[in-house]
Amino acid sequence: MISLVSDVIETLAEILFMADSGMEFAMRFVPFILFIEVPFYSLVLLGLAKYITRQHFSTPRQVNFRPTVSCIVLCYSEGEGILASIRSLVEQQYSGHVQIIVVIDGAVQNDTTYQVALSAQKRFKHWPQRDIILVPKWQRGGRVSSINAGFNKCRGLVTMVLDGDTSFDNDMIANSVPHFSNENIVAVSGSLRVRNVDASWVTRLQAIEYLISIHTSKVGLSEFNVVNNISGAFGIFRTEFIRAVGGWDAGTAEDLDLTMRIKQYFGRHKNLRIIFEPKAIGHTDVPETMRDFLLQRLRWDGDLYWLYFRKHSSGFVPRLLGWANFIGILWYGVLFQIVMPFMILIYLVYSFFVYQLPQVVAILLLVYGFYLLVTTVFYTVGVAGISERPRADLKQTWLVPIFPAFMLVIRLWATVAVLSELFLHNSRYSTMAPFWVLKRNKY
Amino acid sequence: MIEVIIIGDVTGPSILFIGNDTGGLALTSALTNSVHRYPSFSAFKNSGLASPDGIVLALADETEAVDIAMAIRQDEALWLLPVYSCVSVDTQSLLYPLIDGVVSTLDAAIQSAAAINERTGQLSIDPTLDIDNRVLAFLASRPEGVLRPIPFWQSPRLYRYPLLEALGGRDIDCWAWLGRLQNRGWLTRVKLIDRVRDCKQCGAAHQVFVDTCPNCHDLDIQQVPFIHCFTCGNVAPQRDFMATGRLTCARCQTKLRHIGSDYDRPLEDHECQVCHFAFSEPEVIARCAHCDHRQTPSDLVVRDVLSMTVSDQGRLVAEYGRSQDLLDVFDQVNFARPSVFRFSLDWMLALEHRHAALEFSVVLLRIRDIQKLIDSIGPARVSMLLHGFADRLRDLIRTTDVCTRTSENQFWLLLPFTDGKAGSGLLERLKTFQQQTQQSSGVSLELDIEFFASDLVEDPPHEAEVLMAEMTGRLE
Repeated sequence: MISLVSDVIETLAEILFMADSGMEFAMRFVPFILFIEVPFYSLVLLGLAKYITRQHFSTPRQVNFRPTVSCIVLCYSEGEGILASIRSLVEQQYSGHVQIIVVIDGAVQNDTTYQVALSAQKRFKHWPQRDIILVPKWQRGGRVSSINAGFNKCRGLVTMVLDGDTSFDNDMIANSVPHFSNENIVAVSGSLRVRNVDASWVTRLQAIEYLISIHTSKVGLSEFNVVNNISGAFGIFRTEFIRAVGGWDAGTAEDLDLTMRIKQYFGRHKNLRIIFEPKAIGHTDVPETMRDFLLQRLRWDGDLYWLYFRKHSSGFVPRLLGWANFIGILWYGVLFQIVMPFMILIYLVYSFFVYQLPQVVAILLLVYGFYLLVTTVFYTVGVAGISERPRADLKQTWLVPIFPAFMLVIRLWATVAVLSELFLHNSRYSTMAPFWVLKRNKY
Repeated sequence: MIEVIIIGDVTGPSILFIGNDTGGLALTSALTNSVHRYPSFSAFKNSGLASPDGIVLALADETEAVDIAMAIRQDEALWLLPVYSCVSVDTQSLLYPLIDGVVSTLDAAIQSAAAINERTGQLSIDPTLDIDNRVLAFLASRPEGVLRPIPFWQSPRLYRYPLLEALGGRDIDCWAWLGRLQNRGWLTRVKLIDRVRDCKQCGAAHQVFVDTCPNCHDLDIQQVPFIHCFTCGNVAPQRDFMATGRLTCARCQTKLRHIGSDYDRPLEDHECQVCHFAFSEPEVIARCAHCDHRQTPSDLVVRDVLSMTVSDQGRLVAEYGRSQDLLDVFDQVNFARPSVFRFSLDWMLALEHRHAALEFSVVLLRIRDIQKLIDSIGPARVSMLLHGFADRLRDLIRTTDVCTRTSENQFWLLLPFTDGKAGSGLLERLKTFQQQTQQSSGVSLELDIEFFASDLVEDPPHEAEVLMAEMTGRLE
């Protein structure tokens, strides 16, 4: 054992101090980092610096802009859970009119949810500037049909698409609506936080993940107009634009699909922008067990592959997306999310067969150390510069050292997801919609 | 200018026609043949003409019509006369209860008046009638005589009974009078018209309801949204939290972001502007608009406003003119209160135990199934029977005999110095009379009689209660 440790240290020393033998296999490692990951992180950090500086030195503009906002709340079997969501919308500190459109999919089988919606409508009937409209869909048609059904009733300048189990800070609308006074902004992606963070270590790790990859990283991406996705649980759109684009399309990953379709106008209309607003905050419950978590990611990452390679394969061109987003999606969406997982897997297997144990361990430590550095940097910037609840976020600090392991698990699981989509066509059996709806999807 | 026209000759029906707006009413009729004119109602009164069979009002001005109708109902000679209007009358107007209908032809008026006058003839009417009996007579003479309340917002009681005001005089308290008539069983309810709440102090029904602070009872209160901060427990109006432009607790400076997690809305949503008390339910005070007395709404006296008609009992009273209950006839036959009767019987029993020479009898009389009798021959004839029976009884007993009534139809007679022989003789005569009451239909006054003579019983009970209970038991 001791000899192993000493060999590992020897190897690390060779790599780090550029000894000849160390250089050889270090070279196989460096491309990953240098050409794929570090530029990306640098870009995000640059964007973050830009944002934080602007926030710090600019005076807030008071915009007397209070258009009607329509919020589509998608409900299925959440039952009592939708009350928190509706209430948080009613209690928004926004003096304009808010239309809350509660869509209950499969209202016959989800009667509990429907009854809760009815009682909420009655309870908040006399609130000024708030209208609750119910759209019970007797026949379950899936998420997309629910969004489009709710969208029919939207009268606001701004439409929000929200999940029934997601609740919001009371300044969410006030922080997101002013962006739309700029004609060029067609969509705002809202930030998500984990509501059930204390439920288990899995939820705590996801809390860190959300903080780093959503709440912090997307701020950086937003500065360059390359926001990767407008989350389906919390998306804010300019109503007329969505109407022109044709609403939501049936199939899974409707949020990524709509984001893609919006971006496909960026090539021809250079001024259009998608913004990420870290001050528009929604709170959602995340899977509490590892099993549920892996199933969720199986769906997410499988859908990603299907969307980019099957559905939008022909639209994946710079003429439509604009060069920034074309490169951005290619890099972050395809390379990071699809290619990298396989590369990591292959490299790990290769190392085990080719190198000695101490060298493998040394490499793993090096990789881990790198990702720990990245995690720490982004975590620090997030808590210090972006987060509005730093004390709550700091409670997860003790898990940061093991967070890279969690990331590795997610990355490796992504390979499973992609493969299962490739061979099993999992997207066709999604829980997001009934089979007969998914079957009609051309792709 | 009032035109007065009399139509008719002395032998046929005579209808007094008051007014110059005929409202399309034909002035000729198959039943009448002469026309006279008078300049006014008082002129008619002064003319000394005989009382007509009915009156038709034809006045476009309703106030004038009400005045004349009231005058008619207050007049000694004319108060029971049928009065009609040929101009349409709103059912909720003051005129409507004072008249007997709206007619479109003179013949309809004549026929209706004839029916009413026939019924009037069956009642016992004399100039000495008190106001109670006048009301009963009026209602009994109309085929559907109803005392109708008319909504009149200017009145403190919110409703008026014009007919009662006319028959009883302007100063009469209609509500107390109605209550009395109802308690005596002479009027029954037809329909519940309304339910009003009167001031406890002055009885007026005009209440002003005001919500006030439960703490200082001032009425300067406002509905204000409140916030409850979870961090420090501060409960205050929302405006106190908006000092910085976003929701921040004024006490602990916590930024309140998410309802349900950082803060919530408490039940209190009202604030008093005087004492700054926070509450959820204001206190409602009712203030009387007439006497300014303040009370809680639950202190208000609830009053039902009813339309009423004459009951069967009241109808009998109208026919016989006597203020008596049907069975009250017996109450005049040496009547004593049951307690007095029992005391006397106790005494007699004690005396009998002491001095056997004292003989007395006790008779228990029960009139069975009065209702069956009323159903078969009608209350009028039953009343006559009972009168006759009471008269008979009065003849049979002496001034020293005591009578009492312990229930609706149960009578006791205490006959001192009456031995068994004399007592049974009395019974025989009672039985004879009972048989004589038998009607052609076979129904008769059903009497159950129980008899006790002190000389015929070895060891009578020592107490009246026991004796009376025994006798009642034997009667079952």
